[in-house]
Amino acid sequence: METHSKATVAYAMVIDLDKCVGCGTCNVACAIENNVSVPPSEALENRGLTWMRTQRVDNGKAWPDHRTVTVPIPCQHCEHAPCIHVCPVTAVQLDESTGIIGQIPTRCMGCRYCMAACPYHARYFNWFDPTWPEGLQDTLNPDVAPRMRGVAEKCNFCHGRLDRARELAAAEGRPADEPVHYTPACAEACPHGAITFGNRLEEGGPIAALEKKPEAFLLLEALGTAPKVTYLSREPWIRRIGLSRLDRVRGHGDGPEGA
Amino acid sequence: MDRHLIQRGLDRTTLPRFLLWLLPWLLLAAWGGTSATQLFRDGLYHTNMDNRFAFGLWIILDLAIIALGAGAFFLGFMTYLLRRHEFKQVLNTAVIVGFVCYSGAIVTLAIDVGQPIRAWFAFWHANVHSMLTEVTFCITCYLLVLLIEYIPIVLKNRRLRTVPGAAVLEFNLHKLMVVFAGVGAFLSFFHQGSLGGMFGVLNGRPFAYREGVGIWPTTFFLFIWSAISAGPSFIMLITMIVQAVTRKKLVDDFVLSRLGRLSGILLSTYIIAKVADTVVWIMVTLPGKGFDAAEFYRSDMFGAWVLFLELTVFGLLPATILLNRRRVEKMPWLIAGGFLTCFGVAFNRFVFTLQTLSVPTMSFDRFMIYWPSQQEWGVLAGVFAYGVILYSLSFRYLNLFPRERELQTTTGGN
Amino acid sequence: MLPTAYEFHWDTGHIVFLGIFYSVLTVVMSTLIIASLRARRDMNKRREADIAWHESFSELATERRHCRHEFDGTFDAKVCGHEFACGNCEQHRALAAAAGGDDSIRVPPAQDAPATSPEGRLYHRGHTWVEARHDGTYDVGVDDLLRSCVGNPDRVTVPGVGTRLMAGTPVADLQRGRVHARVATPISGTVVAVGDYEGGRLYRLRPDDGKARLDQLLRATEARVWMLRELELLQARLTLPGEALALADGGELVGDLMGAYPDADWDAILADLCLEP
Ligand code: SF4
Ligand code: SF4
Repeated sequence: METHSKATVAYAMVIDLDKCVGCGTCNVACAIENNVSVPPSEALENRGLTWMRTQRVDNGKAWPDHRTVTVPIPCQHCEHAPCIHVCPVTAVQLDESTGIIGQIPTRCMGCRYCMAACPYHARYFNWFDPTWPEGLQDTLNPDVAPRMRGVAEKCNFCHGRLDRARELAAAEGRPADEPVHYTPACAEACPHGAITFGNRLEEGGPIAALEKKPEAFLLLEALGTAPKVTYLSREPWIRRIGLSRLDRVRGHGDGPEGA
Repeated sequence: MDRHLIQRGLDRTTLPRFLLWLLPWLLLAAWGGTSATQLFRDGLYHTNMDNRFAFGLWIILDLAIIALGAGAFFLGFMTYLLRRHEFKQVLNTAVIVGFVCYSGAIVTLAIDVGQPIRAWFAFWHANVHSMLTEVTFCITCYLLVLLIEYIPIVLKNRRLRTVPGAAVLEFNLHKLMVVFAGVGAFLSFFHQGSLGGMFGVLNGRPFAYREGVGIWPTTFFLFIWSAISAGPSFIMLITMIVQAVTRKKLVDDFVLSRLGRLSGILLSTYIIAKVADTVVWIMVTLPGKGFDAAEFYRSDMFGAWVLFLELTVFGLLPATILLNRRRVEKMPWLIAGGFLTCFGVAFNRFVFTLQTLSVPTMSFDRFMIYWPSQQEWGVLAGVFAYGVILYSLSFRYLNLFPRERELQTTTGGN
Repeated sequence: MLPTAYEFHWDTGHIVFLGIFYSVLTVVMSTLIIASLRARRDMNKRREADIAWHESFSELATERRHCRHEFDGTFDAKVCGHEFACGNCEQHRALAAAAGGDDSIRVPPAQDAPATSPEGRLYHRGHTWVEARHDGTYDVGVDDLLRSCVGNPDRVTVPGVGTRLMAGTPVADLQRGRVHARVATPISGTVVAVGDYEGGRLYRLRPDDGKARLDQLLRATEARVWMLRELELLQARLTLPGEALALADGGELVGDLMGAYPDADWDAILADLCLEP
C-alpha cells in the first residue's frame, strides 16, 4: 500500500529451459527451504505437495524425432493473478511492494477456489496432516511456518529469504525503501544456473535483459494473466509449449516449422 | 398413536408404516453421517479430489440443488409480490424444498472446505471482490429467510396451534411475509447469479470464462435465468412425486400446468440467451484467449455432444413441450418437460464444474477424469435422505397443501 | 465484516457490499421484531381468540362458510366474507333492518317462567345455543346434532365458575374414547354457574360489559334450515341412507351416532362440527 515501493520492485524469475537437465534439484531445495511436507506414500497421484513442479514435456513425435524438455513451474506470480480476487477470505494477497502473490495459510479455509482459478496448477492442497519421513524433521527451516491440513499453499518466491535479506539490509543501515537483492532456494541450488531471479524493474538488471531476448516466452500469454516467470529456449517447439494445445499442435504462433 | 399431532381430516398412514418408510432414508442418512464424520476427523483425503480436481461431486451438488431450490424464492415472489395466488397451493412445498436445498448445500460446503472451523472467516475476512464471498453471505442470509418462512408452517401444526400465542405469532409473521418474499427474491437474485459468476470470472480458465456485462460475467445472468426456469418445474415434479407416493390428490391440476408453463416461458428465453452466449464465447472470447472451442470437446468424456445435449435435449426440447398450452395439460408431457428442464440445469452445473477442471489449460496438460469416492457419494446420499426425511415429517405433521382436504372429499377419498 | 477486522478498508467495494448486507440483515431482523411486537400487542389486547378464529375460518371447508341469508332464502349461494361477524356486514345490517327485527333474543319475564323453548334460542355455527335469562345471564348448551353425534361422552369438561371466556375459543371438551369435541363458546363472559350436560346445558355466563354480542348467532328459523344442511353433510360423511336420521323439530334427538358408526373419522367430523380446523 505504501507509495514508495510502487514502481521500484517487481521480483521476477527467468528459467532457461535449454540449461535445465531435469535433475529436480530446484524442487528438493524448495521443499527443504519452505518446509513442504511429504504426504504418505500411498497418496494418490496429484495429491503431492511442491512449490516447484518439474514437469516433463515432449514434442509428441516418435523416435528418432522424439524430444523432451523439463519445465520447472513455480507460481508465476501473475500480474493479473486470477487467484487473488476469487479467495473469499482474503488469504491470497498481492504485495504491491514486491509484486509477490502471497498466501496466508492461517487464514485460508481450504475452499480450493483459487486452485480451480490458477491455469498453471501452481497451487497445492494439504490433503493430509503435514508429516515428514523419519529424520527429515531435523532439516526443518525455523524461518518458515509449516502449513496445516486443509489449506492451499504455493510458491511465494521464498518469503523467508526476502525477510532475512530485509533484516540484513536494515542491520547494515540501508534505507527501508531501497530494493533488496536475494536469491530463492531454487535459483541458488540449480547446478546449471538455469534459474535467474531478480527485480525486473531494475534498469540494466539481468532480468530485464533476459526477458527481452527473442527466445523468451510465457506460459499461456494470451490468457492475459501476465506471469512474472519467463522461460527461455532456442528450440521453436519448446517455445510453443507456452501456447494453448491446438495452437501448439497446428504449429501456429512462434517459429516456422512444426518440429 | 400420533393422531393428535396430525391435522384433522388429513388421511395419513399409520405410524409404523410411516417409520418403515423412513427406515431406508435413515440408513442413507447414516451413511452420510459416517462419511461426514470420517471427513471431519481425518481430512479430505477420503475424497477422490486432487490438486487438479479441486472441486468435485459436492460443488456440483451445491450448484444443482441451489438452482433447483430457486422455486422457493421465485414462487414466493410470484405469490406475494405479483399476487398470483394459484401458486399458494404449492408454496409450502416450495419453502420446505428450498430450505432443504439451502441447508443441504451449506452443510455440504462445510464438509467440502478443508478448514470448516474457519468458515466464519468468510464473513470476518470477507474479500468483497470474490463471488464466493457473495454466495456465502447471500445463502446464509437467505437460509435465515427460509427458516422464517418455515416457522408459520410449523406453527400451524395441530398441536402447536393450541399453544397460546402460536397462532398470534403465526398470524403476524404471515402478514409480513411479503417483506420476506421480497428480501428472499433480492438475495436469491444475487447468489444465483454469483454462483454463475464464480465460473465466469475465472480468467485463467477459458472454458468457464465469459465476457462481462457491467461488473458481472454473462454467466451471472444465465445462472439466474436457468435457476428460475428450473425452479417451478422442480416444485411441480416434487408435488407430483408426493401425489404419487401418497396416492392422493393434493393440488389442482391447473396449478401444475401453470408451473410447467412458467418454466417453459423462462426456459425458452434462457435458451436463446445461452445460445447467444455460446456463440460469443466461441467466436470472440476463446480466440482472444488463444484457445479454440474444439479442443474442449475432444476428450472421450466430453465430446461436442455435451454442448449439443445441453442446448437441445435439455433446452429446446423441454421448452417446446412446456410452451405448448395443450401439452402442459397432459401429465406425461408435463413430467417429461419438467424432468428435462430440471435435469438440464443440473447438467449445466455439472459441465461448468467438471469440464472446467477436466479440460487442460496448458498445452502439455492432460485431460483428466474424476470419480467420486464412497464418502463423497455418502454425503450426497445423506443430503438427499435428509431432504426426504424433513419433507416426509412436514407432510405428515403439517398442513402443506391447503386444498388437500377439499380435493379429498370431491374426489371421493376419505 | 466489521471495521475493526484486521485489514478492513473503507473502500467502495466494502462500503457497497457490506452496506447491502447490513441493510438486508436490518430489514429481516426489524421485520421479525415488528412481527413479535405485534404478536405481543395482540396478546395483551387478548385478541388470541379473534386471530385464531380468523385463521380457522379461512381453513374451513367452503360448505361450512355459507352466509346465513341463504337459510332465510335471500340468496341462493353466498359465502360469508366477514368470518360470520354479521354485525360487520353491510348486507346483513340492511337485511335485518328491512326485516324490521333485531337480532336480540327474547328474555323471559321472570325467574319462574317456563324454560324457553328451542324457538327462543340463538344458535352458533359451532353447534351450541344461547338462551337468555331474565337476570341478564345466558345459558349455553350443545345442540342436538352434536349431542347425538357424541352420544354418551366418557368425560365432559366445562370451565369452572369465575372463568372468563372469549367468544370463539374452545372452552368445553366432550371426550369419548380417543376423540374430543372441543366446544367453542358462542359468546364472551364470565362463568357464573356450571350446568349439567345431561340436562343439555353446559354453563351459565354473565357478559362482561352487561350486554352480550349476539348479532353473529342464527335465529331459530335460520337455524332450522342450517341444521338440515349440516345433517346432510353429516349424512354424506357417514354415507347414510337418506332417511336414517331425522331431527325431530324442537324435540330431543336421541342418538349415538359414534356408537352406530365406529369406523367413521369422528376426530375430523367433530372438529368440523365445532369449527375447528
Ligand atoms: S500462477 Fe497461479 S497461483 Fe501463481 S499467481 Fe498465477 S494464478 Fe496465482
Ligand atoms: S483455498 Fe484458501 S487461499 Fe484458496 S481461495 Fe480458498 S480460502 Fe482462499
